[in-house]
Amino acid sequence: MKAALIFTGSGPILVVTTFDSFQSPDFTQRIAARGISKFIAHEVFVDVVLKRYGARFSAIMNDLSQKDDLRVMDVDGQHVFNSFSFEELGPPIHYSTPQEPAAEPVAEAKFQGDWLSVRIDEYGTVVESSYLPMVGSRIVPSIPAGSGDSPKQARFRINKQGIIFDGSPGDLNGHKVVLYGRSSPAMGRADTVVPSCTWKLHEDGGWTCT
Amino acid sequence: MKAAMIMTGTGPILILTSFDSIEHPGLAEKLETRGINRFIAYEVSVEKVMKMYGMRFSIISGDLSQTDDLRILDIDGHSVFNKFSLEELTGPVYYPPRPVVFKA
Repeated sequence: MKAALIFTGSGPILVVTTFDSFQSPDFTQRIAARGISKFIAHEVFVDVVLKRYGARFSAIMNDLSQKDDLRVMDVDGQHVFNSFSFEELGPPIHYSTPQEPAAEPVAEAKFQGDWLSVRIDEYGTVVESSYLPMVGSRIVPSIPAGSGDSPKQARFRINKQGIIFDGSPGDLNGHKVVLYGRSSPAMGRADTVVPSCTWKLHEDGGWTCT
Repeated sequence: MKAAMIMTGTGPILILTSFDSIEHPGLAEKLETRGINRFIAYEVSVEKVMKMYGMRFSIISGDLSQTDDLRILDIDGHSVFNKFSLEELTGPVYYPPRPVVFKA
């Protein structure tokens, strides 16, 4: 019998298992079935868990089959975290599903279009664009539309770094377009503008044209 | 500048700090003022964070004082945890520190 704190993206949980390793395929499959494909585990002594959880531990123990099994004992991350001192934790055991794809950079995608026509509200947010995924994006520093109620009309191109050049009006030049993730298939395209490139952050730095 | 994933009871957060080490006691004090008085920290590459967070990184790191400062970059635990592979984590650093055990 083993017990461990399993650190995930939503805080630690406490598990008890009859598997002899937290990296064994049997254990990782069982825990993956609970939606955890990546974790940092710290083993804790079962008798310490017994002392902290008392009757609750006994109930879980009785639930546990005699063969390989896994039981989640506590999912209250704050409670789990505060129930054990750090000296009671074993060394960290890292596990992530081998076929897990590398995390996609979430940095803003950038594209270089021929010419883009946009309307910008008083907060510098693009409210209408000839390239639909740009709607909701921002131009920073913000470009106030002015005192009038109507949004500002603009037309510009952006370079590889997402910086506006050839902007009209000219005060757009040098500003940065922050394009947020609006390129979902459902949004689709609403225009005939074909961007020259979609610029994505490359793992090795710089930008890749796709 | 250093970047670190701070594991707390409610999930990891990502911070930027101008302390020269994530083991600096001043960093723990800064975190305590934000209600985090117990944590496990893993250092991550600032360059990687910069690539991952882009403009957001620029804005927040611009706010960071030259010395002894702390800024929280991301409090979405799942987002933080999934952005870094476990091999990229350096540490852990425990706070409060684990007692050093000397063996004869």
